[in-house]
Amino acid sequence: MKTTRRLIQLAFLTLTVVGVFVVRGNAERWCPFGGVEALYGYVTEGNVLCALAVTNFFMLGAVLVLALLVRRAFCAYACPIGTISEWLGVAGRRVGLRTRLVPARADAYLRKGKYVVLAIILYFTWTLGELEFRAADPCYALISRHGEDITLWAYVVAGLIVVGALVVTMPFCRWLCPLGAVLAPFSRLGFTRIRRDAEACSGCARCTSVCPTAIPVHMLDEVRAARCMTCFNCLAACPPKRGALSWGPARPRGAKWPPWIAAMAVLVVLSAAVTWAYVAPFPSFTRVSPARAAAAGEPAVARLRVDGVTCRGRATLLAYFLERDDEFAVDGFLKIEAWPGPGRAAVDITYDAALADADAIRAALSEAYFDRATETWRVSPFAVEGYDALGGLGPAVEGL
Amino acid sequence: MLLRLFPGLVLMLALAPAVRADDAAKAADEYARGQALLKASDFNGALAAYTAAVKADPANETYRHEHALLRRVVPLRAKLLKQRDAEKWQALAAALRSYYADHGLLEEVLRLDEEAYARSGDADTAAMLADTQIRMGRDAAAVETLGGLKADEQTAQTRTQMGIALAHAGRTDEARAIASGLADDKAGPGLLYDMARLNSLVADNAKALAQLTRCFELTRPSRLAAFKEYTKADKDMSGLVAQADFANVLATESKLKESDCSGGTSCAKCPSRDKCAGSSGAKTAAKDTK
Repeated sequence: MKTTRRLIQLAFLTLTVVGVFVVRGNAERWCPFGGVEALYGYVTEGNVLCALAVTNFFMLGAVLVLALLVRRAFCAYACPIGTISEWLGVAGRRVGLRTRLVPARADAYLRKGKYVVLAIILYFTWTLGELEFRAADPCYALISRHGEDITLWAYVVAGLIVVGALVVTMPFCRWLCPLGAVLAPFSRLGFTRIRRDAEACSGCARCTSVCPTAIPVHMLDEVRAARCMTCFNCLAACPPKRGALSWGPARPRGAKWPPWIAAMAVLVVLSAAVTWAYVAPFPSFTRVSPARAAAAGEPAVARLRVDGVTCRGRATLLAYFLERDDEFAVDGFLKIEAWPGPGRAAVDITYDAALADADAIRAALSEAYFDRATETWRVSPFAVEGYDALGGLGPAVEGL
Repeated sequence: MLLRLFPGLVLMLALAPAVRADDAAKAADEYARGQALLKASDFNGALAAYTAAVKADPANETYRHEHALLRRVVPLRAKLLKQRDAEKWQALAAALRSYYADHGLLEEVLRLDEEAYARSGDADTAAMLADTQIRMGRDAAAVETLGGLKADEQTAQTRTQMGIALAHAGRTDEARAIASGLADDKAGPGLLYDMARLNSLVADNAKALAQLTRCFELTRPSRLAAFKEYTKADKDMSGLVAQADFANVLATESKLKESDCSGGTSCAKCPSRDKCAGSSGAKTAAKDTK
């Protein structure tokens, strides 16, 4: 099982590295913790933070489902930071570094650190509406290929994690990972557990010694601790003749399941989330017009493809053009739903069919606008598919 | 081998860079022609030239920007002529004036300002007209415009402009008398700049430098560097530029706070959040001004 897990870790790490450095994709949009950070803004304002997308919600949903099924298996199988931390520990031992054991009492205090980290990040992110700690985020430094707002602090933190992981087993994952804090309550309710047969157990404690999260497995009938990563190190360490440890649904059902089910669960749930995110994503930007309540006619939807809607700010600018007050004003605009991203973005605009039409909406999004509030001309940065920006100006202004 | 099988393709690939260069050159020519036509007030001709430039080089941001603006300005000009409603006329005129001023079309600005002044005759339109007249070197006309205002209609702005126009016309004593009577304690950055110009013209350098310092302090950080360059090139400020303290004034930092807008990555912290494009605050403000 250890080899299988290593291969899955390698596959996810390779996927990340290829996605970031070869395809040069936006890996930030696939981070499950991004879903936690974006959640508040999405619920209250209908849009996600800049640089994030609804894909973060799909990934968050997937890791929460996984936590309910197989505890923190995401950390042990798929998370690149978990993989790097674990492998650094192995590398440290191979080169002769002694793994430092942290006393149980200290470990218990340090484990609370991740809740503090989570609280601080969420407080600032949710109140300020920005990814406040991005500049010092070593993970972002990596996946953004040294992004524009990265500071030296990101590398200092990365260095501490690397050095720490060489001499202490997965310190970041155990003590500081904010996603670990989010997963904890779900993991505690997890459907599957490591179980110990007290009669078969000799109390050798090999299982406890190899647990990356320092769970005293040899002293428990069932591992309920939220930090269990379902890595099966304990099962592998348990002398096979005794077979004191098993894995499966929580008692009292107690069936023994083969460990590969955990690996399959990780692969199936994450694949399903990615597929769903691609096939049927919900909009990452929504704005409802104040005029919606006054709509009299039949609502219709203009499904547009627009160049230039790359982020939340640009989607806001799109709404600004739609809410203009000149001869291109669209009185019947009711709602914008947009999927901002690189290239041509999908934008759905719901409008009152009695007051507007799709052509008027295309014109409103494309034509320059004189903003009387700021006394400035604004040229639309958007190119709407199907609108001829070099042709006639349409019925709104023709015949003047 | 490749040449035998696909001669057309090879020829096309070989000629592609040359064709692109030709298109770029043609686009540049059309754009230059459009600019010349615009200066000559041939707006329709300029629009046609800009359209040709964009078609020849669709990726050029400058061409697209200027084309998008002019394509809106052309029908607005026609609409202005037919507009009877005073409020709507002002709104259209403001849009056109902004375009003309940004593009250095001072004759067009002057025409609009003259009509606006003829329609309302208030101090604001007089100040706008006088400002354009002064910019065009028509100081006597500016004195006449501002002189037409009654005493109770005059503002600090119109008095300052009168002083500048008089100073330009060589009537320095009258300009100095006006300058000495102006209070600058409640002036905004625009008026402070004009007061500094006036005091520079009448050689009251200490006062001018103090006003310019306050003007810079009240200017948005993103605009300050360009504004300082403008100041250095302003002929009315030439008396100040020679002063030793002018370097200190140029080192003035803005006291306004403003984020460096990077296209939407830090909107939450931006103090101008309620004023920027697309925010609900901006829309409210826009509606309030209608």
